[in-house]
Amino acid sequence: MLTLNYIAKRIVISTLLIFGIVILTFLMIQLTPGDPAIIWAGKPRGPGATAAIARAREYLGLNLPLYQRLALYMYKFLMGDWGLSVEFKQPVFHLVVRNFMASLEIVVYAFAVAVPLSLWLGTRAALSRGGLGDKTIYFLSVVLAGMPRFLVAVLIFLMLYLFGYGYLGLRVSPKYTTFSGLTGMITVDSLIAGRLDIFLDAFLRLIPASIALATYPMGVITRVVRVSLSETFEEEYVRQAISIGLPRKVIVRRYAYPNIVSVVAQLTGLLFSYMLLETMVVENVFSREGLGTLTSRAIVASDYPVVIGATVFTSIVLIVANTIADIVQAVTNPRVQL
Amino acid sequence: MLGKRTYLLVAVLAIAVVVVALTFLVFKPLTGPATTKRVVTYAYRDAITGVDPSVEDDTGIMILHLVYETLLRYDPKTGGYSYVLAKSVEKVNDTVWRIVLRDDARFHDGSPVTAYDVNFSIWRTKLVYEELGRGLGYIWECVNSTNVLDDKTIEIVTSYPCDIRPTLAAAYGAFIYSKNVLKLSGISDIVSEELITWFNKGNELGSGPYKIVKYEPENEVVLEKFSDWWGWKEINNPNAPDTIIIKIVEDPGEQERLLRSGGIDIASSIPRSSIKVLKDSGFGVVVADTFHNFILMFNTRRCPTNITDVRKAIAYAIPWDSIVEQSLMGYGRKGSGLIPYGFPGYSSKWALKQDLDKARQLLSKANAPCELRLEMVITQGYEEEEAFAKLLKAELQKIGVDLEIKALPWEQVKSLGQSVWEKPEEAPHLIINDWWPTYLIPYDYFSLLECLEPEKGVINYWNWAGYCNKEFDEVLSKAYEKSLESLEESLPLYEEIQKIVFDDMPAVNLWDMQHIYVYNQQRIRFRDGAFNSLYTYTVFFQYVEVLK
Repeated sequence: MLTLNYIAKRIVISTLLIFGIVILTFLMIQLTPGDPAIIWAGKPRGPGATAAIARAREYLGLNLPLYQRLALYMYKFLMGDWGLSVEFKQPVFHLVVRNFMASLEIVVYAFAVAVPLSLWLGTRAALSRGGLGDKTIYFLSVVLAGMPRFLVAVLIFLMLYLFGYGYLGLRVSPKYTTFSGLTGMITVDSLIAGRLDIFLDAFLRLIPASIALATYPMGVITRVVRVSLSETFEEEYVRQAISIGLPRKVIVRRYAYPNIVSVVAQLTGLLFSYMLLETMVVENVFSREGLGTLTSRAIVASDYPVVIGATVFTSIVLIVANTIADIVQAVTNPRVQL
Repeated sequence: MLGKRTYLLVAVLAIAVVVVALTFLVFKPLTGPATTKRVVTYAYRDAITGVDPSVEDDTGIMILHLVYETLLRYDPKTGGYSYVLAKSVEKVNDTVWRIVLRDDARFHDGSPVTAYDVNFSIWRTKLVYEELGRGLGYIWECVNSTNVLDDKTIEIVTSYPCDIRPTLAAAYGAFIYSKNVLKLSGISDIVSEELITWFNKGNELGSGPYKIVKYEPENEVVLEKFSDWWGWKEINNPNAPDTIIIKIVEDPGEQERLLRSGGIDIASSIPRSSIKVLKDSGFGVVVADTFHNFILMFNTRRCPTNITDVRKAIAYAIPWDSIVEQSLMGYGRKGSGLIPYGFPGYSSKWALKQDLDKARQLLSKANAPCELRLEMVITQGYEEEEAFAKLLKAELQKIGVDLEIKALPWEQVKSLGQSVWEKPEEAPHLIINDWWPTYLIPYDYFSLLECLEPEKGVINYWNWAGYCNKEFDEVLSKAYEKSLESLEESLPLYEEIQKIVFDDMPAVNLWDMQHIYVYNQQRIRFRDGAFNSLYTYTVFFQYVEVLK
């Protein structure tokens, strides 16, 4: 019952947070320079220009008072109409989702690499605390977490280039460029469509970008697992288990791991947000499209609808991810509900 | 002591590494660019801002000229026009033009191109401009009515004597498309925003050599060969690309990296300092003349650039003979008057020479009542503007003028430029506007300095100088009307206008741009006709050969 209450509370808070972000982003965007009406009108010239800009202002609702614009925006937002991009002239929701899925694909693969590897490394380090293995893993985790992502990405790209794989920089080979599917993640869509050739092509191109992105969560999760497990090993019940001669692996799996699941879940939720931001750098280096690239282009073009849409969409995803992480933590560790 | 599981894990990891490595080796040909189709990947630096053939007025030009066709096309070799969708354009009398369409042209849905479609396209472009203010439909201003005589013949009746040919060959707003777009889109109002949005989602029904198959304007646009295009048999290019991928790559450094790694075949924006190295490494370089120029505009509403002598002093301080070599690395032409080289009305007599002594004299004569500290705004990422700004700063220091340079994103540059009308004190003293024409009428360039009627709220948003000279506006208006009637006869009037600009110096043309395309010579060959100075940024891919 307590868990259900907690979950309901978290969902309400998350919903309020999303509304708060929509309002805040909307208000902040109003303060930035650049007139979207002029961008919308294109390159109006001659005597018709002033009228064209006035019409654009009206069409975009820019002539209304701020509170009305905000109310109108909130209403349309809830109805799923996030407006049209003033730069790309396409529906914002469509643009944001399309690019988000491209970014999400790298993040998912990066986590698929990072989580099992860091769990293994963290456990090895905790089990040989103070030894050479521990020191090596600790050093490695510091380097992985501390190195700037652009540097890691550039180094990986440079290696690929030197070994003749520089063309792996794109998201998919030019010959498959018209392929599209339901999810927007090429590796998933190609499998659904039974196109193993496309899957392989997209997968190979994903590996370098995912590895570059995975280095940070690998470093961080390894260190947290190492510390958390080491602390758990000091607990009385674990000591008891050791004293009765249970195998070390059984102790780790049955007694120690459940104790750190909540910490790792919480951390993974937080890292997910961070990684979405980091993809911007990785996407650029590997010439892949994604939300980061879209947002940076929209900012430069004063494309407010896209900037708001991308910010809000990302926030929703992050809030949902963190809420799930909180709920997992609450279920696995009831103390957090108090 | 390591357990079995550890060994197992290590073994699994080792196998995974081996499998990935083998996959890389075995499937290298699969993932490489080799393909049975002729695919060309072209990197372009700006996102595509739209593909509505009646409305688009910016970067969409490079897609539009491949998907749609105009009735005529400017021929840079002769300075005249060649036929595209029209097979004859005849002047019946001073106000009537008869156009006969070619018989073999078809739209992408297989339907023939008819005079009814021409009629539909002209009126939609004209009305969208007149009613919504969108697009560049002013090029059809002199059109009073149209009469479809039969399926292949249309007459254009103008309100006054007007040479319709520059309009028929315009870079924007002159595209012909099928009237079936209404049926296809399910929208009946031809001037509605909904129809504009329909086009901008990547829908089309043109007659050009390529069709849009993927339209993601923020990332890439993919075009596919239209095999029923009438022109294939005329140009006889069996190696023309089957698929064109236009990839948006903003960073010139990234374009270079992709070109070197085989990710793209043609780069449109390479750091100028890398061009020689790339050439030496075996890449091809094509230099295309354009009518794209870079105009330095002076804020005529803010001290000290509101003083003519100060503006002239700055103009004489510009190291004119070093611009091309140092800012453009040799790829460009020194500006001379607002009209670029090769464009009707161009004259080399307006070219300036650096004269620092004269600049000092002018400054002293001006006796400016405010500090000689100037702000200059340039566009971020335009390396040639950045190089020029540094050159100018050094030269201005020699005559005692301080220059602060601000590099901003294009939209902010535009916004600051336009602020000269409402907040002249906040607008920069100097700003660079790069400009390319809509059609072959010199008015296009001088319109940048047209004042209109700011007192009635009718502002020219491209006049970033805030320049208002009624005499200039009157002569320009006369020249514009005359050039619609006869370009040749209007040229003396444009010369008069250029003289006013020279005397008042609200703006100077710094250089005429040459566009540089660096490409993979092993795969790409450019034929004559691939580039055309009027259609800026467009590569006519039907004249490109892709070698397998």
